[in-house]
Amino acid sequence: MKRALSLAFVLALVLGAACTPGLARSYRRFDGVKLEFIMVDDPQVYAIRKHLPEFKKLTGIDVTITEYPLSSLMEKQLLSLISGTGKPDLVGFDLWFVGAFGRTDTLLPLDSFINELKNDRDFDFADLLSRHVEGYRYKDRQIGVGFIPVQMLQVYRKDLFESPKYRSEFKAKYGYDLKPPETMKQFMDVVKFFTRDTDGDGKIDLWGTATQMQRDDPIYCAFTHFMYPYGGEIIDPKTKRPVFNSKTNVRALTDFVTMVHNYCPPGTLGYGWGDMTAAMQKGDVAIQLNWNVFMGEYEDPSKSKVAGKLGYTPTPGEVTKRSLLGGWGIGINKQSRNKEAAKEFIRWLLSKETDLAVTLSGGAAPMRVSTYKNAEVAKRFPHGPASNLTAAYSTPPPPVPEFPAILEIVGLALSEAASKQKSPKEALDDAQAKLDDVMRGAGYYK
Amino acid sequence: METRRRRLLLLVLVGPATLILLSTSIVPLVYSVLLSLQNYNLTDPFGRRFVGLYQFVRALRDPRLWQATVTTFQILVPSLVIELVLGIGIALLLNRKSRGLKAFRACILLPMMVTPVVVGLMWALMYNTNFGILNYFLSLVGAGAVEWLAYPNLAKLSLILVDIWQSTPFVVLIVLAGLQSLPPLAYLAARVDGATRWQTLRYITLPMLRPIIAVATLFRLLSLLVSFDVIYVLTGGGPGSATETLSMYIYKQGFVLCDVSYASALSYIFLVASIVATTRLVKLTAAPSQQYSGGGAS
Repeated sequence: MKRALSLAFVLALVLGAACTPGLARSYRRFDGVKLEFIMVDDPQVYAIRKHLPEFKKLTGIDVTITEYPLSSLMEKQLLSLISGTGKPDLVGFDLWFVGAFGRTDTLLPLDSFINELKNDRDFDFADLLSRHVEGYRYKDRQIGVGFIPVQMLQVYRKDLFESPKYRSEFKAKYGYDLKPPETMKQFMDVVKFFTRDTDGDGKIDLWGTATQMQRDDPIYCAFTHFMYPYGGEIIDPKTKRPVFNSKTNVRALTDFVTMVHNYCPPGTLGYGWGDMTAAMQKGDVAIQLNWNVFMGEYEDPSKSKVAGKLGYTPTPGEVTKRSLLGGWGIGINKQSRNKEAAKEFIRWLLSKETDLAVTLSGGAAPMRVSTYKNAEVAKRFPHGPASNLTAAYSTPPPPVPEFPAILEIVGLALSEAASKQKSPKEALDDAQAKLDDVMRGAGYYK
Repeated sequence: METRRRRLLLLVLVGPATLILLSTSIVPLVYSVLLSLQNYNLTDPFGRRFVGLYQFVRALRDPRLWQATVTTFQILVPSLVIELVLGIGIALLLNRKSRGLKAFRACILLPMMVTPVVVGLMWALMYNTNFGILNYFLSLVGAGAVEWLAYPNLAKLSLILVDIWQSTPFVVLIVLAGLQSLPPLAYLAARVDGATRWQTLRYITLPMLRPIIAVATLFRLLSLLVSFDVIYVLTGGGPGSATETLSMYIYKQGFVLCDVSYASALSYIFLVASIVATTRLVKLTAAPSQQYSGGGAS
């Protein structure tokens, strides 16, 4: 009887502890282990770094994060991984280059680890943004998992869209109500409508939109807002043949160039991410399609004239509803001598507690739906729901190892068309031939 | 015994330096030659194999390489000519004893001291269409906003302008040093013979400065050929490929596309072309000046 009572007491203690909300999970200890992590120079990394002492306290693992500029990151990471020295233990790599990293076969397959996390009730795997987990699959294996989920959304000036004057004027001109666009046709109407001289001095001082036009990644992102909804592709996912000069893409690029030259502020052709963000912060534009990671900048009153005046919706569709997915994932070096410790770091990094803590200390992109639901985060990131809705229909670029070359060819063609060195058709035809060389040369077809 | 000890001492003294030189200079050089004979792409380490001279043949058939060569010279030639003319002109102006010239000399050399990346960022702000200072001045005279980096020719012109701003002081510095070392006797003789200021410049100063100008030209030529930082920051090679110079193109092949073998082959082609061009330039400029100084000595 006494024994049964003791057993029941111990059981009750264990169950009670398990059900206590907010109880930190226990981590395996790896005292004295040092992990090296190479990552791009990003504000999210600064926020993560603030919490590394907590991780060391929990596990005894000392993590050193080394940041490199984007321009030299991939080359540095690939060289380190291929060298076979086992260093760095962890790499933070671009979702767009999953194919390039995958082909090197230098990253540890994480399938069993992911299954372990899925079975861990405390971890709550289903709470992670699934697209940013699935995106890191190369062929039949998981080579990483997202930790900076970047996705597009539509941000607009509520004060302009709700103005009775603009609403009636828009209805009279276009025959339907002024509202955040749901199709690219409506988007073009809206940017055309808002491009105007608001103070009557004869100069346009409000522009429809601003976008990112620098080669190669920025202009690629900007063009996909047209190409994807219009139903275009760069590479046919099944045959792997390029389909970049399709009629759909010619139409998409023509509309894109029209928008840039007529409804964007002067200088847009040289814009990068920072410039397009600044245009919105200054109140120069009415609507924008931009990455979620910049939205915190819009809602900071010390940096933005439009803080508190913005509304957020998913990106518009047209023929299809599709948007571009981006972000950074973390992978483990196959040659690392500290694989288990590295897994423990990933488990900690993606845990509910760390995701929330990192977001609250300056992180720009939470990886968990529950983090967006936190009252303080929801106040800082009102774009959360729109961003997550867009993620549901977003896809990364073609996950082929040749993507760096594809990006360079596409970026050049778009830039040539935008600066009117070539017509959209000429630019796409030239790029199609180069893409064909790349894909044929890689042996996808004869 | 003595000779042996002497040899050992020599080995101890020269050995470390030789080892360092070998490991930091010769080994990478040899390795890059080997790379250029392979088809090594960092994203495909298992496909690495010896391909002979394929990368060099590929380069000769690559239209973008030729386009990048043309672009390099479109930026290089005007920059070099204007920098030399301006540099010599300013150096002549500064080569006199006058109040305030010392401070002016120090000021004019400042752009040369700034790191190229900072120069790029600074000019990116100045070229900004909406809040750049250049467009602000243009607006004061009623001109519209100029999109400095948006169109091919204008973007090239903008890069030329930045290079002139940053590198003319270098030419000034070298030519000024040359001017101050010229023998005063030659000028005295010219004055006695009744030479005008123009004649003195044309027949005394410039011929004597020839080797100095040749050195300035050589340094600027080499620097312009490998110019990268400012272009990377300001235009990234765009719009389109309008400002994609040879060094920018090689960088893209090696660091963006991870095609290190092709980038190595391109670097060697670039190196050989640069050596040929500069050697020719040195021969062209140095020979007559030697004759001149020889004549002067006699």
